[in-house]
Amino acid sequence: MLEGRQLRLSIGSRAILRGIDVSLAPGDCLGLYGANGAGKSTLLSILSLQREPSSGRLRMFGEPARIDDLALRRRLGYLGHEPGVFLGLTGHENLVFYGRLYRLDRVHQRAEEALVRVGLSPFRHEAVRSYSAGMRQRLALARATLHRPEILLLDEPHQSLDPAGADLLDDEIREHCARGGAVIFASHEVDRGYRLATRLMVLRRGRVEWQAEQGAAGEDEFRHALGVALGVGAR
Amino acid sequence: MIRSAGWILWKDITLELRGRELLLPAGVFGLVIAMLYGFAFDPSKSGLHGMFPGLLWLGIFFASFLAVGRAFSIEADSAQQLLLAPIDRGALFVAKLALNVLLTLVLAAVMTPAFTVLLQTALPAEVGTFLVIEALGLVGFAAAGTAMGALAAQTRLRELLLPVLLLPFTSPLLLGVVSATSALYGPTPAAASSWIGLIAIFDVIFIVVPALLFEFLTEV
Repeated sequence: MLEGRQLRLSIGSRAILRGIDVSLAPGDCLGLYGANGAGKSTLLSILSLQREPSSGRLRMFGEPARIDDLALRRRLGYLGHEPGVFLGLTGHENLVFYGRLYRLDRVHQRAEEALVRVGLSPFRHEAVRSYSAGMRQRLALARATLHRPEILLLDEPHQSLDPAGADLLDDEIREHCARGGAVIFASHEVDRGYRLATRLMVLRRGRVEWQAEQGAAGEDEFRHALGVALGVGAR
Repeated sequence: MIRSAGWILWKDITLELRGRELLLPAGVFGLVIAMLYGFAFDPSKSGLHGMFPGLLWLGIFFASFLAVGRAFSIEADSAQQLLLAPIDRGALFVAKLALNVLLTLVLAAVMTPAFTVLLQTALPAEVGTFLVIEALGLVGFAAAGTAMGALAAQTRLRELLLPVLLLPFTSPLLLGVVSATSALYGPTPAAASSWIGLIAIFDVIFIVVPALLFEFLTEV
């Protein structure tokens, strides 16, 4: 579904990504780990077509990926650091608005279903301004998955979620992968991410420091690799 | 593209009607300018009559800065999601341009009567021509403001950068609208027509060039 080869990005003289290979097949759930500034969010911004790499090759669904390819954007779902929801609109209106931009059919029904799925149905006609941070994150998850994307890109998705919300997110990710979709998420949640991912990748200073299939690597090995990347003892 | 622009405009108008974050401060600022002009210049002096077009347009432009400059910043954290949606960037430009035209028209509709009352100057006899000048001038200002707002929104210094970019950029337009309006108050109101033609040319340039460059402006 996705294949990136030797992805590099430099801003001025500073190299942010220094040649990263990444791939996603149907059913894959790749967990990205590393210290702040390791390049996780930058890699996700390239894979979500927000920016072009300085060099390297990115292909999606067998075709070269271009950031102006609107058809390709419809096949991606992205959830960033910030929920990015409109505070003055209700939860329902937020989803309907994005549904319209994605030209979805039955947009009101889809919005209702998405709100039920993330547990916000009772608050659907309340302004998002009155939502807690966790509720906004749930709404952002509903928005990111509203158009049923094939690849989900999630940047620290567990941020602000309570345990119930985090479990809900994990279930959503597992179901997405079980349906043949692929997920790549950046996280600092070691335990939760280890249980969720089918593959783990640790970045350090823009390079892949360590990676392994979840089954092939024990949790201790993952924690050790992460500890080395963070320059501290594993959490 | 037009349908996407329509939905973005619907969203912006809904947010503005509920939050009143753009028009209210800009409108209050515009009225304060009118009052300060009223205090600073003696409206009873006949010389003020000749200054009225310049004072009116400067007031409208300054107040419009506040509204036009924030048309992109109301996206705030949502801008990333909006730019990721599978829509032509042109739809975003069209939506913001339409919003800015609406905002500036409402501001002018409030400020023009206030200026005539506080500066004790009646509208020119050719009210229809005057309204055409206002509409064309505001469309041009809104178009330039939309383009510069998109550029400034990418920077940390957007509040400072926008007037620095927009004031010099729109100075030919300001000259055109003030001259056209002054002509309506002069002995030969027909002289306004050549200025109206010039303003229309500015409008076309301010709409077409940013529309072509908008993709670039939102990526800088």
